[in-house]
Amino acid sequence: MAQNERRIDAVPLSVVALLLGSLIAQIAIHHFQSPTAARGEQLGHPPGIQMVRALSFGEGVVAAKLAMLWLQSFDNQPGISIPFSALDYVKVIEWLALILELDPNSHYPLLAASRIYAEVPDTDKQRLMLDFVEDEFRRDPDARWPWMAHAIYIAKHRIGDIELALRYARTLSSLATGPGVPNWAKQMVIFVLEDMGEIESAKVLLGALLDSGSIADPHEQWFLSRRLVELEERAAASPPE
Amino acid sequence: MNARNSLAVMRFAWLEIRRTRLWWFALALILSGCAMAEFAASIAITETAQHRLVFYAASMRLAAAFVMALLVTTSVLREIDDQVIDLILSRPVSRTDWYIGKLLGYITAVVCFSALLSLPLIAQAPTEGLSWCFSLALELIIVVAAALAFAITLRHLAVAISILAGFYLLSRGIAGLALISTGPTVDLSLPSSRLIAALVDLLAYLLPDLDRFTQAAWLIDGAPSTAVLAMLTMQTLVYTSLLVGVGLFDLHRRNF
Repeated sequence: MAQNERRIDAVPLSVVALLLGSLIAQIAIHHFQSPTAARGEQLGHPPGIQMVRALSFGEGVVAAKLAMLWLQSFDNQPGISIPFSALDYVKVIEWLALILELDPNSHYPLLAASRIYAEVPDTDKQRLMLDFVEDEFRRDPDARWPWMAHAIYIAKHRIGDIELALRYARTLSSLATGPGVPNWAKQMVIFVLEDMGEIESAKVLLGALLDSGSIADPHEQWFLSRRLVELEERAAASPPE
Repeated sequence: MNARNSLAVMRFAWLEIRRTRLWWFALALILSGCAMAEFAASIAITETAQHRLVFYAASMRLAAAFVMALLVTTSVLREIDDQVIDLILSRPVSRTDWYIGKLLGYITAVVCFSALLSLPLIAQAPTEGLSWCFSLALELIIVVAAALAFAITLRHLAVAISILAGFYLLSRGIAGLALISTGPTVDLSLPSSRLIAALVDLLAYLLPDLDRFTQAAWLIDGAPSTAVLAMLTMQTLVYTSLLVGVGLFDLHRRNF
């Protein structure tokens, strides 16, 4: 016991009772109040890039990471399709574009756009998100080709718009010509034209992407592998006729 | 506990706050907040009035918490360092009387401070502004109760302020952290992810959910219901009692 401290029995019983009683009440309040839910309608327009740069005191990348996590907090809850489809996609795209502008080397916004936000059961929102992915792909094709490849898959199998898929595939083939881009990605036009089954296409895309070694982040590898397992389970549950 | 003693300590705390020229500072804060909000509104392409309200509210909320936390922590630690508290406790004033009196003085100050800062909002959106003002006062009551408890417990200005800042930011972000820690993008099969999620959940039980308080969105989307405000009042009462319990526990153990 420190020299400037008295024995614990110097504390009146009423103080101990207050401490314990209020601690129990705090736990009870937290337990019984309605859980915080992500609410899509609360998402506002993002501030301007200059304002974010000024407010982040030159730490644009940190601001981008924080903004991405903040955006994620709007939809991180069970029942993935309901909260995502409740979001205002125009605003989501504005936020994603801002984050990419702050941190152009980050893959997170495009992963979220193509793998999460573009998977909602709402064709208009899917198209909006895929157009965003295409626009951003054009800015740095050799680095952002994986997300364009997934956009082709979504256009073909989820939206069912083969023309859109073909347009995206041609964009990918013509712009992503760097040495780091695998041949299968450059040949996406063929995949689209062959019109393979949905699960097979997804497995080709995901399997090849994972095998290519271009995904270095273990968490991203886990995320993409889990999507592959989910697709296989879906295929096993409902085999093609 | 002697109510007269507590009221006497409360009067002294109030007098001290008056002499720190807090009200003039509040006026300067309002003017700078209005200028910043006007700037934000002027560069917005649309929803100008909303930008003005939201920027003013968000900046004043943060500034008010910072100012009151700093004011209370420095005031209490100065009283301890100058041994003024030894002098007071040598009189027939119990430790509980002193603590409750101090807290009541600070609570009176935060109510006035909140009312002052909310005046521009009440002028533009009366019902929503009043709800925001009420909630700000509740939030600041928790902040000053925490500042008093941490100052007594930690006894060093830098440490107390740092812990208080962490407490405030974590309390405002804990609901979002809890959502993220168990969200669909987290691999909960990993022990580290499960441990982090459990820790965040435990913290959420122990911290006040300040992200439900004083939302700038109320000024745009409409005032919260009476049930919401009642829930915030209940949370404030419970959490302030908890902080008073922590502060008193440590104060009674301390040798003067």
